[in-house]
Amino acid sequence: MGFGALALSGLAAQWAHAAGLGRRASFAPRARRVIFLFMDGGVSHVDSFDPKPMLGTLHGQSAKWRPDALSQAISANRKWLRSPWTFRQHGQSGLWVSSLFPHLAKMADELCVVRSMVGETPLHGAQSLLLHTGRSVAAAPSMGSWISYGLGTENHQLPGYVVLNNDWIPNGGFQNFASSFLPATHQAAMIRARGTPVDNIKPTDAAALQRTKLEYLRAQDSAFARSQGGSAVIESAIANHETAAQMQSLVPGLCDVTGESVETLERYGLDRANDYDTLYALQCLRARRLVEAGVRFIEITCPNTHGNNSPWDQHGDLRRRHAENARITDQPIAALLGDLKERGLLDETLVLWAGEMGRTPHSSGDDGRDHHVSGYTLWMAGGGIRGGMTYGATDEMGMSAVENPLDIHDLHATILHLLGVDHERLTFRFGGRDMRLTDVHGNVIGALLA
Amino acid sequence: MLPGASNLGLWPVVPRVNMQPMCKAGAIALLMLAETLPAFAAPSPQDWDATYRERLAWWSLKPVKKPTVPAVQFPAWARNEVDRFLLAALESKGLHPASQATGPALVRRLSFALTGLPPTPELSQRFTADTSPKAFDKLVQHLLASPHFGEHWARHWMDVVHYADTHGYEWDVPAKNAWMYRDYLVRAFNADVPFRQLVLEQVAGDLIPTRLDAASGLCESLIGPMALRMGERRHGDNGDAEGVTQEAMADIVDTLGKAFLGTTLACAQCHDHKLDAVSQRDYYALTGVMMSTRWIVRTAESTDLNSASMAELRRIKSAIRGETADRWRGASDDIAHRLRAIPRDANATAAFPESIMDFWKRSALAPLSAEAFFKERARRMAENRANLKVMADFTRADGAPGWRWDGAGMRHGLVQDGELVVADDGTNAVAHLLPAGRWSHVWSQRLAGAVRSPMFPTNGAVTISVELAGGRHAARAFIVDQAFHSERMQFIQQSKPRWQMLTSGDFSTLEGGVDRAPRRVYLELATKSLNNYFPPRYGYNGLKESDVADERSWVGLTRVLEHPPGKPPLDELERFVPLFDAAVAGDPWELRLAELVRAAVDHWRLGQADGEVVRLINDALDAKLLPNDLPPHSELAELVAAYRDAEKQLQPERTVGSASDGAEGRDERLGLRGSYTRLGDAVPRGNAAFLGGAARRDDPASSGRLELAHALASDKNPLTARVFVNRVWMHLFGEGLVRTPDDFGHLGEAPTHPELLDHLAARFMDEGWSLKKLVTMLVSSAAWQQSSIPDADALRVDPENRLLHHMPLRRLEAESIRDAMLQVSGRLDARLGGPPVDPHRAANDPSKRLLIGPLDGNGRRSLYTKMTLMEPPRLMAVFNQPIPKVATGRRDMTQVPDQALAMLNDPFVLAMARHWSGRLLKDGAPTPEARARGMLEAALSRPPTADESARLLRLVEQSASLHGAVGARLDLQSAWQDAAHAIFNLKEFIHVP
Repeated sequence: MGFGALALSGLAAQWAHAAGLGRRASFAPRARRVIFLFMDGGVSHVDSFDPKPMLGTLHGQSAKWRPDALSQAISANRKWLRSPWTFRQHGQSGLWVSSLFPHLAKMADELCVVRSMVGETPLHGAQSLLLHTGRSVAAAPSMGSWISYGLGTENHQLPGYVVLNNDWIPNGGFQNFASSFLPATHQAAMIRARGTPVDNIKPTDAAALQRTKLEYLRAQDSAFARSQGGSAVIESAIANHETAAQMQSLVPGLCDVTGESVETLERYGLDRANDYDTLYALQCLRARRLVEAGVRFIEITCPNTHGNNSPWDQHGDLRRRHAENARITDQPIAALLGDLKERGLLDETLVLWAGEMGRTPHSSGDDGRDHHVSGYTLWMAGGGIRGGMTYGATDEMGMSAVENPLDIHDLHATILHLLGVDHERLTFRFGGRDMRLTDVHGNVIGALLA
Repeated sequence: MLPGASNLGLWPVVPRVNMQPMCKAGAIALLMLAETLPAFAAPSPQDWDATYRERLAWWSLKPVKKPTVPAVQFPAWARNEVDRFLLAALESKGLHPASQATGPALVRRLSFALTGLPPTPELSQRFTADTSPKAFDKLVQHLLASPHFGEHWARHWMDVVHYADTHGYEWDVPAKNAWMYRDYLVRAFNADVPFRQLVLEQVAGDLIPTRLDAASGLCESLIGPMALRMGERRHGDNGDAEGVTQEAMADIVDTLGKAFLGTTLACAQCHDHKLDAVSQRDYYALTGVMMSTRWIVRTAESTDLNSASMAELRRIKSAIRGETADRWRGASDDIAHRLRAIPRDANATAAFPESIMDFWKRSALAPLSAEAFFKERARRMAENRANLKVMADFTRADGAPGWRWDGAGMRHGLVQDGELVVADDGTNAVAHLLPAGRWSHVWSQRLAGAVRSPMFPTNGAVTISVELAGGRHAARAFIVDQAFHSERMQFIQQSKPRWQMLTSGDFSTLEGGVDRAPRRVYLELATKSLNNYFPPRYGYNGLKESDVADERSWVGLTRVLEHPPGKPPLDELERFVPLFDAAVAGDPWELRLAELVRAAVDHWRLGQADGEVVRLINDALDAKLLPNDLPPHSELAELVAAYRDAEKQLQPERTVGSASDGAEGRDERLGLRGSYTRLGDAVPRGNAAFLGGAARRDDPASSGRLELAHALASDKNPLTARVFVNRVWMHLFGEGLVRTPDDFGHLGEAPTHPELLDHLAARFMDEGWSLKKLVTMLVSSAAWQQSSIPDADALRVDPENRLLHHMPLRRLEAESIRDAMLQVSGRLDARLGGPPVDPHRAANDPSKRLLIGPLDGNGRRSLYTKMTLMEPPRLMAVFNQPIPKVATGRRDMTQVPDQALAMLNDPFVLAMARHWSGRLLKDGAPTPEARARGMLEAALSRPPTADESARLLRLVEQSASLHGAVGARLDLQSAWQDAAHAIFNLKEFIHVP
């Protein structure tokens, strides 16, 4: 994954400009950028933001369910499973949040909780790709790439789409972050939590030595460019070397948070004891710094602490592992929301918190839930979003979305809308079609907008 | 489109084409979201027929015709007919070609174009010194004969079939020995196998007369079908989640269409193609072919690799058998004694006795009466008679019609009752005796074996029992709907043959499907090397990675019986009848049982064993009633040691993911709007209509794949040759005559020189579909030998160089950049082929088997770096090696700063600079100037000017002083390493003028 969007020449720059930097958006944008907090593996909706008292009532009883077109099929020998966490209403809005997320609960009035997401296939790879690219299998561009392509960058020194990774590649692989048929400059640049943040960003040569080499290259390359009749290809390759040299100091500087105040570091939880905790906190803090620096789309992935298929994928050990994942992510995310708000950035930054699925309200055991896509929860906050509200509903057991069901295309359409882009007009001709993030689907959900 | 937006350049200014979804939901079956898809009115058949006829008039569907070679004003420039076509077009615009490139530039261009490697300085010098008119031809022939030619052109084709060593998705499981297919391509292009033959092999190599490679001993044609198996594949099958196989088929049809036909066939999965002459029925006709194919693993050996070792094993085993027979005979007097030493059990009456120990243990307090025994035996015999029906009998060569086996283990594995298996490790001499049947491990667990059933009926469950044994992660699975990675797979851990009851069916575990085609289900028993899904995902059913590394596994069977559910075959206990003979009725049990074993040993010894004798002896071995140890210094111990040594000499067979066809073809039902669960009529399987449709098949029940392959590889097919010739043109000239090499349809670009394309296609076919002849013709043209410096006037008239008024300056492909560093630094290991080398990574991810490989990749060329679909090699990805998920005939060629970062800081680049500098110290250069000059010449394939050498020398001096030294001393490695590193960073190093 590369810092492709830094390209200042050739086709790449042409796209970056052509895309209009938001000034040419379809309508007035409500948000200028996006932070996507990917809850990889699927947070249990009935244990987080969608309370189901009936699960308590019917706990342990055989989970019989009507076979209908809405609900995911349910196999035999399943029992309803009540939530091990308690739900309370929070904030002025009285938004329901479970004890799984005590820090986020304090931000309740900022959150717009959608309880009626409907996916396609209860499989991680497929759902993860669907959430990221709008397609469950094909090699389509990531929404970050689409947004980078559509709006361009606000900072030519930085890429438009950055993934703040936590040493774990979600199911679906790098395809989740790929530009696919869009110009390669729009693929995600990957910033790692641990160690060197970006591939090859650390100079191997001391500054003076590298300068010497760059001087040599400049002279020899210019001669070559001249011998080729001033080839644009060579000139742009020369420019890339100059940019790369600058990036070596710029990117590590952005990633280095040692200059932040102690209060800030503690607020995000960088002082916590565990590596997973501090690294996730570090990535959240970097997200704010990248927002300030003008990066268009930032995604933060979750770490996988225990050799599971994916971080939130608790078929078993739900109480322990959901709690652990919540511990890692809750405080830094709440801190990020608060920090953005205090800096006046939340209004123009759309924050999306979403996994690729929810989890079944029923179980084959007593401490685990399985894949669930016929009604699950995500939330948004910030730029153009109405805080302190819930939208849509699942039935009394949390089985299927029965009120205002939304699919991923609706989500994508709404995100693009908030950025001032008509999802039907953001297209790219590929393989003989005008491709869209939303394929042939998607409706903007006005009720979510502030 | 917003009014006026097009002038703002907001979005590409192209007409909108409204389409159906690019890919529908995998599990519409689960949620029935199909109802939410936008309504789509399929054209009536009459509408389609008219549309289809119109669309057939498209240029690329018209037969290839040999056009007249045009007349030109300046024929002297033209070296061959290619030039006359190009020149005529240039002249019509008042343009003229660029001048001829210089000698060194031509050698560099040709070397990279043909082999992907820079020329050695010796080659450059030899060519520039050769003033004969044949110099260039000789150079072409020299490079065409290089084994690196095949490597480079194999890599081009690997983009098209989207080659990868793994299948990505969630666990990145291996694509079964995909590298054998890569090596197959290298050999094929080196041998200039006619491309037409390669088309046949890659689509139906298992169905055509075998093409052998004498040097490697491989059945080349059997390796071909791996071409269609590349890409993302889910684990599980349609019974788990409807659509798993359909997605794989969509990938296969997509690759097939783009690779061979330059046609986006997969666009017609949900609806008739929007613009091309491809109907949705065509898509399902092709899918029917591919769904009627078994995508299995096969052995690719053309000869028995092990005939000498096998003869040795037979000789030794025969001696072991003799020794063992004598030994057991001698020990038979001890049996009663041994039994007496085993305590009898007061409570052993629960189950009916079925072993020697069962009888012995209950003999003290509850001996079985003859009456009870015969009553039970009669009951069992009656039940068996009533219930059992033989489905397959593997005790005879011809007893299992419709079932197929593969592998040398099975070829040598048909045995009679009593075959002895030597324990391949441990302290026992004999592993067990085998009943008659087919067993992969008769001689060694290193030999491969698989047995596959015919298709089971799926309109209802069929219950069968298979008498089988197997171990070391041999596996059995019901393969549902041609699944690649069945998670029904169970490892077989059963050391003695035993009946296993299995129930077939359609295996759908999910409810909610409204409409489903009957499934295709067969049973597979396979050793590791013949199992598509071995190794499976990490940790599957407790599998350890050390088990993956162990090449041994074994499986075999005697018979398959069909019976009503819950009525499995019962042991008829025949072998115990003598216990109840009136003559011995008064004898103590130890004597009766000992006599039973003694008689069994005698029968076996004399070659008269039957299945009951085999069971008794295995039983006695388990109970330690017969000796089975390896007494030190004994003849037997020596023989067994010799056997084990000889067995380790056996060469495992090479196996590869391939295909297989049987008389089990079935048409596929059309998926309404592409749905997997809302189905229309069955579509006769076969080729797309525009290529002749469903051809008549010799065997009406066959898949139709052979006929499809012949239609693709036909001189009459308007596309195959055109598409391939265009690819070759693109690789040599930078852009194709059709600049969308994978799409010759309405949405692709029109050819810049249609007559030239036809001329080349026709000639290519006339000349036997020879890649090397085609390449020779193209590089011998004056056009190809033009300079890369454009004329300003020409650029104004034709800024995109569509008329080829100069050769474009080109950046090297990712692999060539890395390979050039390997060669120039002297680190290149030029050997061909073999298993892939893991790429260098920052960290291991064992659960995906993404492992850190050696930094220098062992010096092997880049096409040998493991292409893991989940995380392709990063250095390659930075330089636009395509992510191998879809057919990519044309690579992006971006210029981005991360490429500069890689050249500045990637540890591989640094390692190559270090390696080069280490060699430079021993280069015997008389002066620093001479060394600097030599370095530039090696890297840039041309003699540098004095200024250039001096410039590099200045860098060496500056670097030396930064390292605390004075002057460009010849022995100061760090300074020369800096120079080497700087040279790798030169734009000229990674570009070819």
